[in-house]
Amino acid sequence: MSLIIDRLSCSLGKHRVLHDLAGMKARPGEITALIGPNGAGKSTLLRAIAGIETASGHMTLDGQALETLSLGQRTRKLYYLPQDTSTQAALSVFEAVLLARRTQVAEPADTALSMVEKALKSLELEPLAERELAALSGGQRQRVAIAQAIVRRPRLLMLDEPTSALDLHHQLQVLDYLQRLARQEDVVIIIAIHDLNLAARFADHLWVVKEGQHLVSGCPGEVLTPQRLREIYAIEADVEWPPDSPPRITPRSATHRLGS
Amino acid sequence: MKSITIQPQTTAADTTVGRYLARRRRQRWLIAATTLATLVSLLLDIATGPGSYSLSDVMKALLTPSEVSRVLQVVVWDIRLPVALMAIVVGASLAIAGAQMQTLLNNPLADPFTLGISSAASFGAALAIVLGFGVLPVAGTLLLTGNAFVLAMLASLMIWGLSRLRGVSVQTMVLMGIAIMFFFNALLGMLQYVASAESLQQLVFWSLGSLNKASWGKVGLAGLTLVVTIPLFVRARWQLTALRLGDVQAQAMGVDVGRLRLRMLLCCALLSATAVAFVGTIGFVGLVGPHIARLLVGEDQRAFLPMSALTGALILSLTSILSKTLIPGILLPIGILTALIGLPFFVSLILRSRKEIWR
Repeated sequence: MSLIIDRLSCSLGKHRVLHDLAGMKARPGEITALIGPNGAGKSTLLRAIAGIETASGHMTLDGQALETLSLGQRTRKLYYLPQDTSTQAALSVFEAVLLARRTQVAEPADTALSMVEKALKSLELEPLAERELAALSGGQRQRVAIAQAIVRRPRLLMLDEPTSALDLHHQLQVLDYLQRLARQEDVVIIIAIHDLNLAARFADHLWVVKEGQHLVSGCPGEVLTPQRLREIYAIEADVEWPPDSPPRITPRSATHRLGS
Repeated sequence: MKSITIQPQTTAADTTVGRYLARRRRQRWLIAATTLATLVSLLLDIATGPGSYSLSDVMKALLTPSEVSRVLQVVVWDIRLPVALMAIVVGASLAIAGAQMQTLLNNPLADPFTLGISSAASFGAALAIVLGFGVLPVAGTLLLTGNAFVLAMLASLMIWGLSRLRGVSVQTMVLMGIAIMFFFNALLGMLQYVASAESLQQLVFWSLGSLNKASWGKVGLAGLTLVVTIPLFVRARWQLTALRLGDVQAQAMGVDVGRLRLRMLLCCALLSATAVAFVGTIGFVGLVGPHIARLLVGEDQRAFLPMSALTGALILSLTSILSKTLIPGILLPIGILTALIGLPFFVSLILRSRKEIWR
């Protein structure tokens, strides 16, 4: 009962972005962090799984082949939260979160409203419920987008840089929440993330992609080593795993050109 | 002695759900108030015009036609009512088309006028007036209307066809709409250059927009287009609202953005082509109506769609009254007035939203 990528390729126009990715597995109840340098194909991979980019190959969610499902059928099971959530829409925060639920299921209004209320509460968004999206800061919009993801109750939740615009308090709050969500609801969660300290702290499993290829997968202790970081990011870094505190990854210097 | 603590009570209105429901109620009240204002405007529009009939005479003619003179019956039922209703129907059609074009193309300046649909219709009308050429095998006044309709649909289909090309962004579609406008304006200019003085006058009058040639048949057809398209927009209300969050977020919510855009643009094309074919080019209603609606009720389509239709209808109905009363004894072309009233609004809109447009 998990997401398995057997074989996946994807091109954007004439440019091939993902090259036969294989052997990637994300389990329910866990957070899988997707890491890799800029332009590695992280967002394209998440979009290909979501059905937003056309891809070829084979992948399964809970044993069901995803490529056989239409966009509508796929998005009833999974949800992709893009990195760019900027909008000028004249919609209130409450309306925007309700919209995420109503585009998925038709249900009694009371059920949808109470789900929205719960999601807003869990992300401390209640004071902003009547504010228009266009009037929110980047970080506030990112939290609204996470609330939109939550109300859809997906089996697989993919978030593209969900903490990039958040302050330290909200970074921890959101990742704590996602960790609880994965554990309690048995959801498969994949997060594309650049902050390796957060990845080391919250992820149970890591996928590494570079230049459109699957470099390695494994638990943070296996993947986040100085040798691997040199290979992935072309950096020299100190990696510490103190027994009573979160892991620490300190980049010291860039070694050579990363490539295109 | 025990102290008594009074807990602050949370009422339903204090919760986020309560406040959301209050917002919905406010939206419904605004829609109801605008409906009422539109009905009042409709009555005033019927009551104004050449011939000194009081409002009570007109009301009597509407409610109990058999109790008024034959002349008043004809004035109210055969002349004024079709014109007044046409203002409502065309105003609503243009505003809905404008609202959805702005939503579909993610551009606050999109409307049938700025995307070249009106220019194409004017060229169609010019073909009939100047050359006597008909695109459809019809004659008489239908020649002009038929041409305008076919050319307006053609311009819409050009935008529609363009949107089917892979990799074409909505910004490109808007720019192509502007190119279409210039293209048909150039063709129109060519016909104006070779036209006789009489044809030129007729063409200028048509292109200024007029409700005066409205008949029950035309009102019926324009109304039918509204009746056919509105349920399609209502059915897609959540998807259309989701589109305002951007294509990727809408797709993540399961919206087939490409298909939705094509279907809804076709509906917009039908609405604007019908409106322009019957009344000529009436600018700014399709632009200003949706913007007022957006300011009043936001962009949740459950409120935005009816509010856009109503503001468009109200604006054109009020302009119709103004066109008859501004200079006593002279009926001003309605297109001139909508442009004059709309221009300051248009400029303020550009100044306010230029960051958004060029984002």
